[in-house]
Amino acid sequence: MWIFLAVAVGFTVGTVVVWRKREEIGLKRAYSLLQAGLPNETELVLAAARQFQRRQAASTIGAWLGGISALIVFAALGSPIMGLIWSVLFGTFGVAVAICVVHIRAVRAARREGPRLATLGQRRLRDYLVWPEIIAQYGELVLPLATAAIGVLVLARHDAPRVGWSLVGAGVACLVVCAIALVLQRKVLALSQPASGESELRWDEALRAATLRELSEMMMWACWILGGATVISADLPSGLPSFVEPLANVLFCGGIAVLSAAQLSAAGKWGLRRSQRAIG
Amino acid sequence: MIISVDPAASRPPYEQVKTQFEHLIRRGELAQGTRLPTVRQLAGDLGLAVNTVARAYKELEADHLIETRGRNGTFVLASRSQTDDEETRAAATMLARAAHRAGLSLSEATRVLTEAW
Repeated sequence: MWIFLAVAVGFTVGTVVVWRKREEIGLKRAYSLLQAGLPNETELVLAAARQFQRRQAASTIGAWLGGISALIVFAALGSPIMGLIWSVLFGTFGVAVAICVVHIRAVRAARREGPRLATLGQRRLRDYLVWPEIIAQYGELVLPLATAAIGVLVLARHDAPRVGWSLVGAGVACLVVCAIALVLQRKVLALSQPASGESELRWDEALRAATLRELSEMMMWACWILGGATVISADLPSGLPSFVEPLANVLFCGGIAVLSAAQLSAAGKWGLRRSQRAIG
Repeated sequence: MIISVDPAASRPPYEQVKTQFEHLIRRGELAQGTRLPTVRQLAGDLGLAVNTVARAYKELEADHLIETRGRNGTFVLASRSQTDDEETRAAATMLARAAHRAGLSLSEATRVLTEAW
């Protein structure tokens, strides 16, 4: 109980700090793209910073919604695991939709008259993200699948149905969130960017890459929390096959290792430069 | 690789799109087999009607510069320089045959070509 209280306090303090510093975070993210070689035009940099700031605000609200839903479920059911599942479910869903809505609104608001530019490149995920990110995005889907499978094993033993259903529910819920994120990624890839200059087009494509990357990260975090962390924190009944416990540890540690590797490659110059590849 | 369209320009937008593709193919910047963006994607990016881009693609296809392979998409068929090479070679063959028929020597046929150049 005290652990969950500490997590709740940490979460609240963390999100409040992020909310207060959202302007600074937006500017930092825009400057990080600038360092990857995007055109240094004040107006475009500030527009990107404003978009990142709005995304940060929307993401924080999504995370708060997740936290509130966790509290409600915890109060109603008294189950910390179900509270965790619901918080991640609502949180990731809220964050994913918020990121996408902010991106789509920014693109629509930028409609303009006059000359328009288009890139002749293909719009595939691999044109915007580096391969470790793509492998990690799809590879992390193993976690919820394994979680659901362990849940089925627990249910087959008939002595801990609540734990079994929690694991199956977490796995399935995570797969639903991932499916939604994949649909949103397709929408972002299909969205037309209005640009009247090459610099603008470069920034637009970099922002598209940032949106795809955020959706990918959100998917991976959901997989790790609902997949890896749920299994390791569940009170698994005794008598399960001997491979279940090591598998749970591998899922937890492997999941965070893959996630970290993907984020490191995304944050490096390789990942940042990829943002511009789409226009060659 | 970027193309642009100015709706305020005197030339119709479909022609602007077509001309830019022609130049890119002729200069070899769009290599043979390169997949082009879908009509819908390009129309959305350039703020044009789908039919406008479709017309440009259709005319490029009629010029044997691009090819639509059903659901697989639209591809650059051959670079313009290759097409030109083939046309030139065919015309040269015709010139050689006509010169033979007329009983001209190679140097005389070359002189005829030089005069026509």
